[in-house]
Amino acid sequence: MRRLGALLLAVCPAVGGCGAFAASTRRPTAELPAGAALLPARTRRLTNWELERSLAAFTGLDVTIAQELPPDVRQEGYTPNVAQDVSTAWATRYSALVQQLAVKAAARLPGRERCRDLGPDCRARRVVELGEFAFRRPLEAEEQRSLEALVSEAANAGEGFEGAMSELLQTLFESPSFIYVSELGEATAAGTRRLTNDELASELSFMLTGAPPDAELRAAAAQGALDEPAARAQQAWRLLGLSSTRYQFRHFALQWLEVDRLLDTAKSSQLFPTYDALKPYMLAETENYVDEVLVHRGASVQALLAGGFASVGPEMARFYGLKTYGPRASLAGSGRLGVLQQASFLAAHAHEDVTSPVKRGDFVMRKLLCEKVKRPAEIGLEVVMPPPSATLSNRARLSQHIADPGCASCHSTLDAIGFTFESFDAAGAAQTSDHGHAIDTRTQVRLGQQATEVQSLASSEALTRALLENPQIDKVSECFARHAFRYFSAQADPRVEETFVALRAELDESERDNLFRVLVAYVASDLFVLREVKGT
Amino acid sequence: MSRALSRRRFLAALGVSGAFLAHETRGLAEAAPTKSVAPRRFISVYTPHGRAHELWQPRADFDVTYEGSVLAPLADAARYGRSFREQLLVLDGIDLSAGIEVGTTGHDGSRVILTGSGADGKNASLDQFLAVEQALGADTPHTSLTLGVGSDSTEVGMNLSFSRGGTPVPKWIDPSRVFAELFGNPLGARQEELDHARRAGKSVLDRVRSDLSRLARRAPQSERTKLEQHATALRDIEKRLTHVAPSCQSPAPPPTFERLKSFGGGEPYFDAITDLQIDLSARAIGCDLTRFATLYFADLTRSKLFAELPEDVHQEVAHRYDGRDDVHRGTPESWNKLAIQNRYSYGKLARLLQRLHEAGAFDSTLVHVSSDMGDPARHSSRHVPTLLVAGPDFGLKTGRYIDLRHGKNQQEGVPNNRLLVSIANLFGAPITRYGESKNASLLSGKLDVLT
Repeated sequence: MRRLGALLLAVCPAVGGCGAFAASTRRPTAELPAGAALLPARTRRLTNWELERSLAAFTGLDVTIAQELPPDVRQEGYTPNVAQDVSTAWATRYSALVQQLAVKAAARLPGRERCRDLGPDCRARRVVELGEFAFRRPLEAEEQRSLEALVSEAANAGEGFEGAMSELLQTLFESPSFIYVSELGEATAAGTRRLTNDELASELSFMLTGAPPDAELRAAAAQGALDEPAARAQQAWRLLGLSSTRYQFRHFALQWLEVDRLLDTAKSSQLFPTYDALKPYMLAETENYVDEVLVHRGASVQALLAGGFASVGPEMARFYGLKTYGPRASLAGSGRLGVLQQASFLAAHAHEDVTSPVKRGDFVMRKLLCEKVKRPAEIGLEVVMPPPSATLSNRARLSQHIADPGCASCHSTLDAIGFTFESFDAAGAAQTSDHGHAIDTRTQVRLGQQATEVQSLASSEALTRALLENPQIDKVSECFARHAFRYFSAQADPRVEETFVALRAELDESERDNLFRVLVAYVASDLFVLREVKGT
Repeated sequence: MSRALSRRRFLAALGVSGAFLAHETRGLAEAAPTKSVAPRRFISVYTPHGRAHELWQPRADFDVTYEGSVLAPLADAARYGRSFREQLLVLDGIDLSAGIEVGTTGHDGSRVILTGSGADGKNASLDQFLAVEQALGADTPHTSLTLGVGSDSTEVGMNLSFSRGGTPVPKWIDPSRVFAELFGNPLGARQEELDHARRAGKSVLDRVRSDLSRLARRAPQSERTKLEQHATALRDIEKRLTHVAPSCQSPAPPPTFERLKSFGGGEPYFDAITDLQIDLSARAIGCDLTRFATLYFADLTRSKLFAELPEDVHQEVAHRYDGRDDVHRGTPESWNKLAIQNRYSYGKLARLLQRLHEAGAFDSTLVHVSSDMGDPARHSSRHVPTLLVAGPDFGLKTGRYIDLRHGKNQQEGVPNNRLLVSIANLFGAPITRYGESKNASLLSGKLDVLT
């Protein structure tokens, strides 16, 4: 059995708190235990954003099509997933967009001085050069013949060089080999499939950067180097060190926090008249904070939850009542600690006019503790919205959840967690009173269905710190890794997730909390390389 | 229920489009109702916020025009050209049962309306089942049309149409784009570039189809549905490339709206957008550009359409509804407020019917209307307000109120799956069950009371 630890240490760059890895004692293995569930052999349509990045990488143009396409389908809240399909509406819009792009790109193809006629040599060279870049693999002979014929037909129809190249580019952009990432692999003696080097390069690059493989990664694939765990780990660390990689981790963090569609939310214009104007700044704060944490503080859930600083400009600094602004403005004394106290999170998990301890508590349960919270209908309940009150605080109004035994089974925990956030209103601003009542954020709660200890918590800060201490920290850290795996592996099969969790458990305790380290261990493992076939 | 393509047939379809289309056309002829003089059309409409049952339920002798009735627009001949009361079926007691079973209720419930399945369902919605799987949309340039107002979200509760595999079919929410797709030149080409676009488009499509075929040969069974969906999209694009401009008159191009989305500033335009989406879909049906359409109306919060209601009609009206039942008298003021929204929605329905009538398509069109909730304050997916408006070609006994409620306090209803089976049968699909559920009894059977 190959051991990965030394390999990973040898290539570990100064990214994401890498120094901690030196203390490793236990090492993850490349090979998986017998019977371990694998990801299925599959094709995945790239997300709108991944396609945008692919087209930009291909053309060298500033491409902005992600917002022009019908939205991605989500699974578990994440856009990278195998449910993305090519519907008629999507294909029609995409076709129109890439048709325009192909015309622009054809007009500025590199190497025009060397090859801009439509003769056989030049035609073949262009087809191979562009086709292999688009398909992220060598062309098959039949593919090359067909694409060359397309160029000839265009020439025969009176198209000039640019017209023919435009048709070729449009074909490549619309081809499934461009639109989908292939994880079909080649059959192995063990009955599984093993991803080819070209597939590994694409999988690795889209996973860590949201973009197609760069020249160095393609060259490694062409040499067959990616069969080796150490080579994959080395490439992974290299990609994690690229500045553009931060966009992929922003996407993950924003989707995990459920704030990525903040701009589509609304608040009562009477109660929160500045909300619409501030929304972009709220979102920018979270994006910048994620960058700061992942680059400088280590890619861990601890750092996200408890960085102790804000990455804000003057608008959000004023909103928070901070004395300074900047990438690391101190939050001391503000009652805020990390992402859970950021306005984006608080506003996204609130109603239009009033806070929602239920939504805030529900997030903590689902996304930090990985506790299944049943929907009311699943236990035969119809939701009755608590009646409005001109005199009661929100907390008092929601107390009927606890009074009703049917509701209490879930809400005694959800609401209790959510009450700790009541010092922040529905738009994320600090509040000290509610309908004339002093805000009370104190609570007593079991953090999880299996927890035995009832904890007394004074505020959301105290809640955050409790989540990051024993015994919850292991659970929170694992839960964060599970969600990361759902996003970065683009699936949510619980069986496969258990294989991943077991793989993560082989890392040294101090390494498990570092998302980068965990992802590299995954990349180096057979879980990344092997696929099982479902159906024939 | 679903008619899965065999691997051989699927691959053949990818490689040989002409043969596939011919085959599909034959399938259509076999599946189509033989006695129908015109192809049958289906439109399904989602209306938000449930209903004020007290003012939704017709009174004695199918009175839908009593004071306060939310169905009154459907009998308002002065405003909508004619009364549609005699073609109306009011179905009380339809439950989104397969959704309730797994918690797909409340705001998620629209997922269940046409699929008869909860959030994890993998079957197509009825419109897609008929148009794609039964190939009843094969003969028109657009296999189906999926329109919305205010949100193009793919979230579970924001769509009516789902392809096989359970993926939402994206909604067009911009009337300008709908117009361009329906009445503009294919793929956005200018008129003078049409010949060029057709040649180039065909050339591109041939290669794309070959690439898809190559991928499909390598892909396992589990990938089949997704790649079939892609093949369907390519066929649809090809149909439009080769389609000759409609013989009926194009409507005037709609205006461009600065903003389109809920909470993105589109709210003030929702009324105008809704009218345009209705007019375009009716014209598309009338011009036989498509025979299947779904319309997802907007939640009207912040639209300021109703001077007499609070700005937040969701929180302040729908959530404040206090209905009457056998043990509770309810609050009439809350009924009246919700009824204002309901009446607005049914006014839009009357406009759709008027436009279909003007387009000569009313007799052959079945319009289905539903909501994700019955009682919106309870987020209840029981007794969702369900209407059918059937042209005479369908042979239904219309002009009636059918009460399907039963049990203690009439709390029990009938699974919407039976309605879906009945509608599918009206379109010649000989199925006996629809949807997915662990409880098979929810899925089978039909509503004999319709005929």
